[in-house]
Amino acid sequence: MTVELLLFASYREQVGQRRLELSLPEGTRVRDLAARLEAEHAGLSLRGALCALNEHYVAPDAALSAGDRVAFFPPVSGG
Amino acid sequence: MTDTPRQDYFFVTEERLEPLRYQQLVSAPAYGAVTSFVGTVRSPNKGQVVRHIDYQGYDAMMYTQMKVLAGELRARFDLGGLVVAHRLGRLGPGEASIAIVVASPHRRDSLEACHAAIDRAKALLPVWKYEVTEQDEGWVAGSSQAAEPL
Repeated sequence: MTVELLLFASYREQVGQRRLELSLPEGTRVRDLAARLEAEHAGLSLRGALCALNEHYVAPDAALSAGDRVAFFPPVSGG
Repeated sequence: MTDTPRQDYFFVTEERLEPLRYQQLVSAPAYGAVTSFVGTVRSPNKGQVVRHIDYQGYDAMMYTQMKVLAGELRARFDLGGLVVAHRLGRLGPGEASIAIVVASPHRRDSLEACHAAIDRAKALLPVWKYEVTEQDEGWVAGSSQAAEPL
């Protein structure tokens, strides 16, 4: 299945991309996707990242579905 | 438009915020209390003179989370109109980064809802600040209240 991944702030800088399309096995969870991204980008640590699925916050064990839009970002500092 | 609009207004913009216009949006005779909060870029911050802050946001999710926030507030308080506005891009000291305006029939709900709204906005809205001071620069540490982090 294919999912869209969005990165923000320091993660965007470290990976050098704001958006990726990734092909993943069925049953992949958010934390599996994070581990894959870390494995592909030396020095990248997503420990402490917040995760969103289709613009809603989710826990790292949330399961992904085809067409989902996933986002990883650091703790938020709006306002 | 009736004269009792229980309407939500959400803005994500790189333009200057307009708190007075937002007050007009929610002002109606039925609502005897209109509370506004405006957050601005503080300088000095932690003893350092701030040159500017670059605000980055996930704008589609900002709107989604503003809806979540509005739903929470309406479940707790008797409200008329509600405005949540966040600016993105480069802001200098003293410029408004966030504005919240809450109308209610009575002052207590209006004041408490406005206070709750800014606290929840800071926890929920996916926004990141890159602060440049006269000494150094970097991403500002944020809040992880919204969800279990990785």
